[in-house]
Amino acid sequence: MPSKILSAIRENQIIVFEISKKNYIEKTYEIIAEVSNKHDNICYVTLNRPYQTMLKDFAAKKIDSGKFTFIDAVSGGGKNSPGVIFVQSPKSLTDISIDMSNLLGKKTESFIFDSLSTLLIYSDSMTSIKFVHSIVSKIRAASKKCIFMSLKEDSGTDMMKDINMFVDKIVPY
Amino acid sequence: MVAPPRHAKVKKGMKKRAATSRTSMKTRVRKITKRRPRSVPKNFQKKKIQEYVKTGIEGLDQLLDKGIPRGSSVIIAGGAGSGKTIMCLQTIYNAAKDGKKVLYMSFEETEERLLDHMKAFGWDVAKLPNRKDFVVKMCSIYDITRLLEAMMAKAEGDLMIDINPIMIPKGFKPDIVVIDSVTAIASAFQGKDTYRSYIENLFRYLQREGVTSFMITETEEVPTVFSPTGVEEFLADGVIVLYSLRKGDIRQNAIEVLKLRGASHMKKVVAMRVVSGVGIEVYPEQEVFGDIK
Ligand SMILES: Nc1ncnc2c1ncn2[C@@H]1O[C@H](COP(=O)(O)OP(=O)(O)OP(=O)(O)O)[C@@H](O)[C@H]1O
Ligand SMILES: [Mg+2]
Repeated sequence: MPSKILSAIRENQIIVFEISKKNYIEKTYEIIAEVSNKHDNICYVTLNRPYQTMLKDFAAKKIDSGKFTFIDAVSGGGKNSPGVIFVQSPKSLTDISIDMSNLLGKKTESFIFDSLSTLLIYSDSMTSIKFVHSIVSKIRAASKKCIFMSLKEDSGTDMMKDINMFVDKIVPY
Repeated sequence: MVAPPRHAKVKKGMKKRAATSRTSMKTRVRKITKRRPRSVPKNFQKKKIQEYVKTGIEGLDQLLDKGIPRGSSVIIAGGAGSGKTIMCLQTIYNAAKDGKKVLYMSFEETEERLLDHMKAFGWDVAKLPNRKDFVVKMCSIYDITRLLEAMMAKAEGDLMIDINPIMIPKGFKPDIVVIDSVTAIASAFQGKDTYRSYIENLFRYLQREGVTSFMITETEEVPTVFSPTGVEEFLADGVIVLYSLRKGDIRQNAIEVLKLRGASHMKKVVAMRVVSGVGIEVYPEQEVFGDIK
């Protein structure tokens, strides 16, 4: 299985991984582990699990969290440090976009966005699509990579149909 | 040079006149200035000086292209807590660092509070090259009322322009003045007409003195009118609007340079943030997600 992740990452710039609700956490960590084997500077945008929780999980799974800069939109705020930027809410799309853009100009090689499904819970479909389109354009212009996580259960939604148009590959996983 | 056609025409005309006689032109302008101070000197000054004021806020200066033409009066409009005070303090602190003389007229907060507020962002007036160049003056609307009475007593029509309408301290010649806020001043007036002549007088006075001014106005969250009577925004050379937009239980700040006479500028609403310990940050390339209703 990991090879499927790796070849998708190698061959594409912007990827969506569609993961089923049932084993979402487990599968995302498989992807995170693969990405961290390949890249040294990764930005992880979390709309699902708080930064502190993820740090513990990383340690348990022996993933080097030192390679990551987190943008945490779940904890509702906190003190920024070199490893984490807190954003008020998953609704704060402008702030998320600003912070991702700032990292684009730095060493960051790839972004992991967790997840499109959560994005859609907090913002309407039109706004979400605009946001994804805008951030994908910026990532492309900077020749960086981005992986979007998404729930398999959302694959038929309007947003996913639209997003299909501007990503390189959608990988059911 | 993104000169609008009107501007270009004026410039051409000036050249022609200048060719006939430069000194007579000056005298003529001076005469006209006395009679109708608003009509000519604007373009005249623009041609002559072409100096621009920078805010020192990187993203905002990018929106403003070359900057704010020196001597302009700019309305800073926005709802409660949209960042008007911080933006102006940051701008004049940066200017004072550059050796400019600045004056902050506050109707809302005391000097002590303002200076404390500034310190929290790392703007320490004690560290300025010349502390005396940064003046905060606390005013009350009673000061304005009293001043107004004095003006009325002395005034006969246009003679009103001889009075310093904002009590600039004697002997202090500021390059930049901030008025926080024009809305507070407006509240001191009962009659609309007296307020109007006061405010016209104020604009004229600042222009004559060559002062670049920022006039804060308190507006709706998403304003359609940018000043207490709507007249100020026509008298002003520029209008910058600060938005604090609500999206459910969160807020997003945004900024727009709505107009700026005699200067090119970006015409779009872009993201802005108040960053702890830093101040206002403007992101000229960042669109704002969610509607500006
Ligand atoms: N130290 C700080 N760090 C981060 N943000 C701050 C800080 N101080 C203030 N702010 C933010 O800036 C906003 C207030 O800015 P400011 O006082 O300039 O607004 P204003 O438009 O002048 O408001 P008012 O209408 O009350 O005069 C606050 O609502 C707050 O969100
Ligand atoms: Mg204020």
